Amino acid sequence: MVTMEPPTTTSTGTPTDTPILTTVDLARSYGRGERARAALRGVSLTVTAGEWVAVVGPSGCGKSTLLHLVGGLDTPDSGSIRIGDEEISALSPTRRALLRRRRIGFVFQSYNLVPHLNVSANVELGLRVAGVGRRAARARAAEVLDAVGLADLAHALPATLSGGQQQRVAIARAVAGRPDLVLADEPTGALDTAASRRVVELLRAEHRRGQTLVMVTHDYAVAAAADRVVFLRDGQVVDERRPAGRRPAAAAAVAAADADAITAGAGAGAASDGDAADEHADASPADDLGVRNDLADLLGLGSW
Amino acid sequence: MRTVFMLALAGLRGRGRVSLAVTVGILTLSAVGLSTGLAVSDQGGGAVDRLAARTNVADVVVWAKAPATSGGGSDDLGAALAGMSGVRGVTGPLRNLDTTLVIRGSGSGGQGDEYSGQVTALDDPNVTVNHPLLVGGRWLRGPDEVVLERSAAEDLGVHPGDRVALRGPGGDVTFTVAGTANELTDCGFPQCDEARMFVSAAGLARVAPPTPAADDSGEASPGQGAAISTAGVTYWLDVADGVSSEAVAGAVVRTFGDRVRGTNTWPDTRGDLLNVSQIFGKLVSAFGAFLLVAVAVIVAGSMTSRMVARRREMALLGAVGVLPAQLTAALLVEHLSLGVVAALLGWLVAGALAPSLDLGAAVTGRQGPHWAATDLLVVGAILLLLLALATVVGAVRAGRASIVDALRDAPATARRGGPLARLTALVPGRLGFLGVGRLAARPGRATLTGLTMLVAVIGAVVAGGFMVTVTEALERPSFTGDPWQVLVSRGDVAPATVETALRQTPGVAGWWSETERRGSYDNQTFRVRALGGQALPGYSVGAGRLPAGPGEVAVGYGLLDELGLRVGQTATVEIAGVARPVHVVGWYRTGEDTGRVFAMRLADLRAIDPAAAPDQYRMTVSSGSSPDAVKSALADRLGDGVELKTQSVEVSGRAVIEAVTTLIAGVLVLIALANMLHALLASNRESARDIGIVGALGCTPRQLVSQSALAATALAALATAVGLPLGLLAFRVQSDVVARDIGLGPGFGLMPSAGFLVALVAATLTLAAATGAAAARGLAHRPPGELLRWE
Repeated sequence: MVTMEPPTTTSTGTPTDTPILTTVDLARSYGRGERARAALRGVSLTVTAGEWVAVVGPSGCGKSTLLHLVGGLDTPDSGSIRIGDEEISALSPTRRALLRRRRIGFVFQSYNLVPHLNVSANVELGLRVAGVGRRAARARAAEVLDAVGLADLAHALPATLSGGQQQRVAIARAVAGRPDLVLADEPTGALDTAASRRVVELLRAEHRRGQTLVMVTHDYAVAAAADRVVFLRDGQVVDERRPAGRRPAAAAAVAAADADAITAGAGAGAASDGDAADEHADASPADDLGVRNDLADLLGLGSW
Repeated sequence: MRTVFMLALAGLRGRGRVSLAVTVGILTLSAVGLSTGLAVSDQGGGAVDRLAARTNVADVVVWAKAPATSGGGSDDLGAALAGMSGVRGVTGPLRNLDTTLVIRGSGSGGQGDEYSGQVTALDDPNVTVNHPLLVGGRWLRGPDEVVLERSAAEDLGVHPGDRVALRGPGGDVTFTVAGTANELTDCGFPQCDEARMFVSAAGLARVAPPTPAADDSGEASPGQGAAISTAGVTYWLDVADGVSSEAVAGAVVRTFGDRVRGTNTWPDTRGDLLNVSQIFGKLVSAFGAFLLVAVAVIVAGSMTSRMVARRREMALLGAVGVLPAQLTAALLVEHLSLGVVAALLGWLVAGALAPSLDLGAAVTGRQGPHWAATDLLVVGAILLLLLALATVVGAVRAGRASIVDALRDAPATARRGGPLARLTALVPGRLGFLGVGRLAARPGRATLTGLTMLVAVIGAVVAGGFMVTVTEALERPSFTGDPWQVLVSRGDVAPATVETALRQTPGVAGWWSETERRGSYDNQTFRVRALGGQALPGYSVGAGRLPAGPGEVAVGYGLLDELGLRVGQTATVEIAGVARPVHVVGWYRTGEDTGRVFAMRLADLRAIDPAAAPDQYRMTVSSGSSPDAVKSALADRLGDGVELKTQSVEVSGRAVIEAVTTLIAGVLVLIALANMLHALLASNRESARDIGIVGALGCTPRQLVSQSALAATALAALATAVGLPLGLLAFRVQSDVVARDIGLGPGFGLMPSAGFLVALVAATLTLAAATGAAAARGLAHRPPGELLRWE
């Protein structure tokens, strides 16, 4: 059984005593009268700067609702949400929009790219909304697209890309503005294994650069890449885990095992998702399963 | 079949009530426009013709000189007329008298208002030809009663029971108005001539007592006063089917010469009655074409939008086993149900509006609400046909779409963005043009929406042009061929006396004389007007000039067109029974007799008829004077022997025309805007997730609304840029067609003013922006999280 220990540092070693996100007794219901369904029932959560928090739970437990509330995409019925020092739960829609453009980046399960804008324009969009000039936006977009390995697809339309490529564009868009907080809602939910690994690697790379991440996922393998895992069930936090003894070394071992699994199949550099089949073929099923079993043990997950 | 109706009912009950209401609203507006066009265009000519049939209107009216009481004459003339070829029946002789109608205000001992009038003795209205049709009160019962023609009564505000006076040689004689009646020997008051009235024979004797024996000429003796000198008899002729009224009128003139003072035919009267209505009717008919195009575009767009918005639902139905044919049938039932409701609503509204839009009401009487079953059938058929076509085409397209893609809610091909949508990405200020990109991602729908706006702009420009033209025609009679302000009918006063008075009366700017005869060419008879006097009248000359030298003639455009004459042509024309070669030196605009008038010099007429003398003098008034002042001055100089008249301006018609043109243009614009709202609502709902994305990225609700407003404005700007010049061109073409048709000739239409066009552009863009903003307002204020989950 993994014991709970408050995290003091992230895997990168950056001090994390500065809360970047705080929720207190957050509640949200949908529907009216007899049809009302409580999606969240008093969720309290703190995320510190530079931390990567994964929120896991079964379908309908309120993961996405929590993310939407935290990101200002929706308003809670009750409770408090603070981004840094800013209380956002009672902000007007306009003020929340302004907050999002300054401080929050989103990555969605269904990518949510604007279909009639090319890759570069999609990445630039968030910057343009934030008031960044055309040239600066274009330059920054090129930079982040290069970081995610899609520089040569800058003029392609989203419909011509694979799922993994689209999600990488979405990640580029989310981080382009250097937000305080990136919220990822099932970022690998629509992807195959190889593409998922690629996306996780990207998120990890951003995390190493100091990006604060809150990620909703139902995939434990993906969750294991985070600093802390928060378990939701029926709209409530039922547990929080950080792998015990998983100080940086242990976490690194996990990361290394994970990285081995990836590199064993992927090869170096910007592997395109067209090579996903090769990646998958090179990684042995046993290795993959072994990594997953290790992660489950580390997290003390057993059967859910 | 049960499945089909179940699906159709589910579709009607389904979500998107706002969309459903907007769809029904658009269809209803379309139906209102179509129905209004049908109702109004039927009213003018149709109502007059129905009235003519009911009264057995006289095909030819003959005014003859009063016979000498000691001799024969009128009975002989009547018998002779009845015996003419083509004449089927005659009513007459009916004694008539030109007089003055005096209407005094209630309780006043003053002089009262005076109007030119013509009173006819008719004891029994049940005559064979041209029997007056009572519309108020009753017929005459005694010698102190009078029945007024309907348009005169309405215009002068006279009702049964009122007391009026008719002026005779002995002074004013009081009568009680017994009733009002339709009577179509001439057009309505005050457009045409005098206020027409009926009294009994005894009543006429009160006004103009029978005179002593006249001389052998059949004329009353001179010195017996104005009333007697203008007394005469009237005959109303019924012409056999297939026989030309013009031909009979011409034959009457040729046969009976000086015994006949004048003739009028029903086609001429009908044309005069409907002159303004004709322009108006053509306008409405023209707009019917605009409305039909607009309706077709709107229906296609609306139904397509509706089906696209429900493609996932349709895919689901396909996935559970509903056949494509069943789905198509269900959609047809659903959409045709909407069409039936809309057609019925539109027909009811239009029928209720129709009476207030009837220009001919003064003569025919204002009809009640016009709800003709045929109109409903026509409108319903047009609307249902368009709906069926749009539905079937859309359903076939939807049926071809991938069910899997629709269920996965994968973006439709169009949403991925064609070249047009991607083009917007290049536009500076891309953020603002996101809405334009969303609209351009569906080029078909955007095109249909823009097309409707284009049609509306064209329609508004044409309406503006017609309004300016018709208003000018009503306010400035010289514009349509009546360039005079005061008219003198000299009666038996010597021409020299009248001409001397004209030269000596201050305020008379210029004058000319007119002598009427009948002419014929190529078996067509027409009015000939011989011009004499000081100056040529200021007719609006379309080409060439007015006659100035011997043998020269100018022709009204209607006659030029009908006879196939050309300016510069020499033709042999029969004038007053004598064949003469004439040289056509020009054509001019005149609405009289739909332009079937022939103008020549009095000197040329005297070469045929040395005794020809002017019948009337027309004049213009110098600035600083007024027509009424000149009329009064001439009355002082010439006495009661002449009839004086000032040009009347038809004010009431203008208000109706302005109202109708504004209504029609307004309906077109309203339809276009409603369609734009519907299209943008559908577009925004389809793009809800995209809007959610942009909202999630930080666009404020105001920015989202602005994007939609900009998209609508961009579309409207494009439609306006194309529609304005097209509208001006369409107006020119259409006004030329209308003007040719009513005898005024091409080039008659006045372009709408620059101010009007600027206002139209500004209003269109502003309303489009407001529409775009309204279409996005609901979604923009929803939480982005909800939009991101939008299905």
